[in-house]
Amino acid sequence: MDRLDDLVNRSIYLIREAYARHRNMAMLWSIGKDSTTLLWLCLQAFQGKLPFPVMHIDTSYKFPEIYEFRDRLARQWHLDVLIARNEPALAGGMTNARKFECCTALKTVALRQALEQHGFEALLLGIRRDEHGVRAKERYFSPRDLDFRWNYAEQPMELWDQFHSQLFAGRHYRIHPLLHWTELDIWQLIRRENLPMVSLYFARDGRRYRSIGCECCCTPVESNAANADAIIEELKTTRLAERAGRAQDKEDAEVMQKLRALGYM
Amino acid sequence: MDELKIVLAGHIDHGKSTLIGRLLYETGSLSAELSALLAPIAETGGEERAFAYVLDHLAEERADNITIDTAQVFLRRPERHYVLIDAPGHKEFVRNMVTGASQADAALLIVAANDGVCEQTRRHCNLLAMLGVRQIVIAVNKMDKVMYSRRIFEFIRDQLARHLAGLGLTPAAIVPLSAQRGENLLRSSDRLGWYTGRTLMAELEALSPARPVQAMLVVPVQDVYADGWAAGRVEAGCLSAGQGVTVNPAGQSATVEELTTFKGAVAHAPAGWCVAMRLSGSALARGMTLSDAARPLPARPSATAKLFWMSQQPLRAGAEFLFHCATQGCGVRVVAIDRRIDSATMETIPAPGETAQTDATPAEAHFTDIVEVRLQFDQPIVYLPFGELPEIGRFTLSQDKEVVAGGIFS
Repeated sequence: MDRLDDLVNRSIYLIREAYARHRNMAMLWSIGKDSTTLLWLCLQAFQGKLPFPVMHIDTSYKFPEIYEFRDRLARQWHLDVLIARNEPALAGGMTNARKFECCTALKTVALRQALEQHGFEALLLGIRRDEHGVRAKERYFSPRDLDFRWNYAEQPMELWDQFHSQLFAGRHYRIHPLLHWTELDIWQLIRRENLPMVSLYFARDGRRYRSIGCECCCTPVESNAANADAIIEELKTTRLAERAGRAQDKEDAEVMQKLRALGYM
Repeated sequence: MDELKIVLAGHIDHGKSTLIGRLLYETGSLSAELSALLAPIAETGGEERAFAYVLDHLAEERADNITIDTAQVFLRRPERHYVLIDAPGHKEFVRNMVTGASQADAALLIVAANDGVCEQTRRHCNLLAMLGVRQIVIAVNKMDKVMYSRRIFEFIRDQLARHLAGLGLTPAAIVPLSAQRGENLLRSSDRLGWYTGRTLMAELEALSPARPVQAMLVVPVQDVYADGWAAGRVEAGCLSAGQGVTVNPAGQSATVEELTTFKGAVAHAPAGWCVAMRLSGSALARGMTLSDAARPLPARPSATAKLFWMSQQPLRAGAEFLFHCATQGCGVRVVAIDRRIDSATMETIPAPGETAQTDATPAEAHFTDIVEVRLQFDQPIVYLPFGELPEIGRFTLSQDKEVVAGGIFS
């Protein structure tokens, strides 16, 4: 089996394992390359028909290209899309002037509200170990407590594909079927399977985005890579960190760990 | 291009995190920002913890200079991809080491030349053997701290080779090096001129990710969906469309009518492929196992097994747990503890007040013990000895939402 097939099969096993344990679950779709790849993998796991909804945490500050892409793909792939917005915070004028507070209100709190509303036991997320040092320590099945926290110092064992899966009131699971993929693997799959991606990833006028989120907090990198082939070549030589263009990762060396401990994905 | 997963094992402070950090640096795998920060330190070899910081990302790990949790980092080389699993060397965190080792194709065991073979060095060797990790490369680290002494290296080399031989293992290579100074990782060092073997990276390149191919068919059923399709992963052998199979444990005959993978309808699905299938002749449910028509798998109500006990609470005979093996799950009782083994020394621990010579069976076992037990299941379970087919030869026991033991069938 080649490497990409191996990665895909491993992810499909994890997605099916999640669904076998938690019929009441959803997938978080940020519309970025990783979660769009995860979405495609979920469709493969269930022969083209997704048996659970996808949820978009909408801060309202995303790029217009992201909203267009979301609505187009939702129609094409017949998705049940739930949109979660923290309306009271938006009405109160929350902006990125204070990044940590803004991320907390519009992502963490919005997610918490949506979980309470829908009562999902488990959420699939497209995070990868090679994105960031703290993510290298994640488990495939990660339980979150009543206060939403990730107890990173004492994580469950994952022995021989036996995953922690006992729930009790107020808990939910974050399940990470892409944990073992690298950024380069993702782009190799995008190329091979010809997956649709938001146009922001492809260079225009010498710049492209390597990681996307809110328009106000993302900086493009200099690049002439206008298609998946060129991006793959670029990634083979770059020494720039993937999330270098993401403002919330820079503010404080440990802000990522703090955000994750609070439940931000 | 293939992928090799390597777990780094060894005693606390022998330099596992430093070795991974330095390997990432030497191979140009770190971001430009981080590389620039480390470059002056790499030159002088000073600042002992600097390269370990690349790995210790939890605030607690930085504060205490200790690896708490397993981290998996990627190393891309022209010949293959490596996943390096940094496992903690502290006894308290041995559960995390086992989590890391259970996913590995090979192990890199690190021994500090100035400290020699220690308790966790031996325990990790013993656990690697039990977990079925057969390829072990040994790095004798901190050679700079013992003036690059050939005599000290050879003493540690012979001692470990003897220990591994006792476990039925032969190390793939034993390499003297200094992770902190970057000596003998990618580049050989004049100070180790007496060493004529290959560098560490060359030894890692020589390892093989190949797993033995099994002829016997084993497909545990993972789930059955509302539309009648069943999901599973081929764990051994090859599943084919049109093939007759036995559905265990009931032993019914069935035929594979339709077979798909993510590539669409397929004629054959070898080991490692996730499949969706429709069978005629038998209803399926999670926990059932498909095997060759001519080779039904035994389903038994009891078993003898070897456990690695990972809970701080003692294991007592008569205790009940949740049992999981592949997709099978049920209740289980440990009806007897036949033997307690010290996982560091592999010696039998006598029951209190007894000597090793008496036949008395131990009443309880403790954290990090290897324990020989007899199990009684709530329902018949399909399994084989670990040595015969690891995929259905290993299991976990859980209690109070925690995995408390990993085990292998004898």
